[in-house]
Amino acid sequence: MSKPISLLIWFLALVFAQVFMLDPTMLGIPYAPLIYVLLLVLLPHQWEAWVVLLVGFFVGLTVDLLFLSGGIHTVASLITCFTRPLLMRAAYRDTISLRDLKIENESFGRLCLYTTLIILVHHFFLFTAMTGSWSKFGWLLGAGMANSILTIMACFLLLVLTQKTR
Amino acid sequence: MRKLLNGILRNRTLLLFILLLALSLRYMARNHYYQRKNFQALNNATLAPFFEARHRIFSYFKLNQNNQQLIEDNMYLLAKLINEQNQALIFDSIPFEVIPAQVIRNSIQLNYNHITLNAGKKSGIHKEMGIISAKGVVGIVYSINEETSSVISLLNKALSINAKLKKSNHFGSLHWKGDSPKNMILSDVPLAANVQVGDTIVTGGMSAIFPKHIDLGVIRDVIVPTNDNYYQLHISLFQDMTNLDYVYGVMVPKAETIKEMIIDNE
Repeated sequence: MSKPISLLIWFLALVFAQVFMLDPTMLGIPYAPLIYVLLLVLLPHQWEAWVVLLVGFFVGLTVDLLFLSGGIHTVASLITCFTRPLLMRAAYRDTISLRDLKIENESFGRLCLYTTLIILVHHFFLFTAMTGSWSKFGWLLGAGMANSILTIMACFLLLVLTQKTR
Repeated sequence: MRKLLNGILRNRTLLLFILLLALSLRYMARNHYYQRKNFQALNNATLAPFFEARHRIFSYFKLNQNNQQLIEDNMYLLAKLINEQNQALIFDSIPFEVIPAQVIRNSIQLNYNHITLNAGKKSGIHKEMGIISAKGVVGIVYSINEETSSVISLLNKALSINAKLKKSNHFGSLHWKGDSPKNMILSDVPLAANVQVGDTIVTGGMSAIFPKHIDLGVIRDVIVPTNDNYYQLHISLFQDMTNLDYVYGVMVPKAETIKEMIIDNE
């Protein structure tokens, strides 16, 4: 299956699962993992940065429209996509040129590290946008970390389950 | 000109990022009532079947919990009914009917929150109808279609409800400041009123939306301003707005006549 089609299937599956199965209000729990962030991890590293930005913007906007969350996911996804090359370098620091990087050939541990970094950056900006100020820093830290841990665990689980498919 | 074009092309990623970030920040900041309302009406009409299906699936797994809540609600309503029937001054409150509905979406994180109900025109819900739960006021209907309706939540900074002290009939205006979902502010209560922490707040009935004496909450904190003649009362709601399921639309008889009278008086 070609990469764009496989990504489209990932996109539909993750957004569907996010909105219809992992809605914290519906589940009656304070936090639910934001598994759609995995899509930002799975974007091909060979893609031009501007394409990645557009995809990130579109993904965030879709989640915002479905959750009626007023743009916070768009902002967080967009900033995460912008910082993606830096995070990739941090996770795969042995690789000099990102164009030569083949994530498939790298170890699963590196992929987990990369996923964690993406999630932490995404959640930091998401919860900052949600509170809108630094006055609730304690809450921001607690809620952001709790949700990050949930998301990291859920994404690792998905990565392990779909390792062969990817 | 060529240099400018080259410069733009060279920095296209950064420029695109700034443009998209500006757009998304504007979208976020624009979180205004009217734009949200328009989008939400469209969103509700198209996505309602999916959310309804999702709600059915979740309801199946929450049957026990739902039954428990129904029992509690019925007990509460029954107790209230008996109390009402034993009161001599029944004419004090306007008789009203209620239409049951279930919450299928409820936003709580924004400044302008809304609730979607699985009952619409067909069930008898109409615009500007007051929505209550067994524990208190929930919001006011602002748009409807055949099967669903959208409600302005109490957790919406644009909403203000006429409320009064249960013990003394002093009126005020209840609204949300946008912080904790449990805390509301009751303003415009004159300093002449004898106000104490723990006093109950109920609806004032000064409109055709809610009848009198629907529970709202209790006074948690009393602020006496130095340069104003009115209290600022912090209220804890009886109804946990983050945990809504079964609600009821309040049908006020002769609502149109009451509205006309209010307009005439104004």
